[in-house]
Amino acid sequence: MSLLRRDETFRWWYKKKIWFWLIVLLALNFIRINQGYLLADFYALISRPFWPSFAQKEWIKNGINLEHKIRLDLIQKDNDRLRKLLSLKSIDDENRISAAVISRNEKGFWNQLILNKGTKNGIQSGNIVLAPGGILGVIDGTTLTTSKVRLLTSPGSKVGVWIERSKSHAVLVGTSNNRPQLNFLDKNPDVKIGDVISTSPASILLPPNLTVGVVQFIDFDHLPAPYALVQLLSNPESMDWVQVIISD
Amino acid sequence: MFTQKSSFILLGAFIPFLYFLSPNWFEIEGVGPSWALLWLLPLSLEKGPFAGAFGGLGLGLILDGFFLDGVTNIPSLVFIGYVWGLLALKGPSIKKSFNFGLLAFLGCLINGLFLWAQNIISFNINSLILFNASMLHTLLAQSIITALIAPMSSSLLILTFFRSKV
Repeated sequence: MSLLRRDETFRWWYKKKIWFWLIVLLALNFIRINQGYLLADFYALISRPFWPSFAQKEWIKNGINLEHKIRLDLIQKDNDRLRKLLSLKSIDDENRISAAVISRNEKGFWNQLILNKGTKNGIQSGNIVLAPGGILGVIDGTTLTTSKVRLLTSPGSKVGVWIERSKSHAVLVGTSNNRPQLNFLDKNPDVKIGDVISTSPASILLPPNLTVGVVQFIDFDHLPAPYALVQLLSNPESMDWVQVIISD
Repeated sequence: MFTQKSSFILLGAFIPFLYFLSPNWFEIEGVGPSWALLWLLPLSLEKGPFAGAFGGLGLGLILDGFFLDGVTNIPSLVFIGYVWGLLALKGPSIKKSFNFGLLAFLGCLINGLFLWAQNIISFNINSLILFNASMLHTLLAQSIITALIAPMSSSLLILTFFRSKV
């Protein structure tokens, strides 16, 4: 009798449809809790054949590159205009002369290159020589058709540079070694291994923002001032052509 | 048209071109021989200390014009030319192949030390970094390759320019 009454009371409970919907609800809740984890993976699996092709990826990349190039060009023009207003040095494409390396003495007691262009082409002593990677050296002497480059590694080479990150100034001195020495003007320089060295944007002697090298070693204990060694980004041993930035 | 002596002097004028050319097959670790000393050695040994010193002076002047300012070749070349000439006066036994190599090696070592010292003094770098492996490497590499070439080149030059043909 009591059994019958219980069956009667929980009759809805024993209905199979309720179990079914309860399981469905639990399953949905599981998906909700997992934030669609399995479903998204399943979708990715079945939609794989319809994913955008690599060609489309290339088009997007090209588009982004073009956009960056245009933006860089606009910023460069803006920068040049502002530098002219401040009477600071800037580099125009017309000021660059390509020259071939006709003699190379990057090792030995003299670290120099001879280029196939000279005063006839407008090159003067003190002009900066560039190679892929950054500054290679400075013109030290010229003839009518040749010019002599004092490499940054050469003893006697002294170039004012600054550390990109901390905006602190230093002098890069050649020591006949592959890695020139960076002498700091400050007793406690803000420098770390890996810092990029470039020419100062405020320089009135050198063209601005030309990369020089990367700091590889620092001796903070050296007296009277700390120094660092710089790995140059341009390599004179592999350069057959360089660019000379001539003065206006 | 040219006498043997004038041809040898003319050859000296072309020494800077050998530095510019810097042929790879004459280099050790990127450092070539001291072409100036290879030319100066037979001159000093054959013509004596004053000709050697004068030859060193002349060649030093030419080389200084071609190389970067700040370091000069003149004192070392004059000194080495003079000393080699003095040694030649001691007797003909110095003019042997092995001696050519030894003289070239010592001469190149002295020349390199002169240049090294000038680098340290004239550029006044505020650390001892110039006493690093780079300069020592250059010094030794140049001395060795010069000493290896000297026996052949000196014999050849002496036979060609300082011995009258029979």
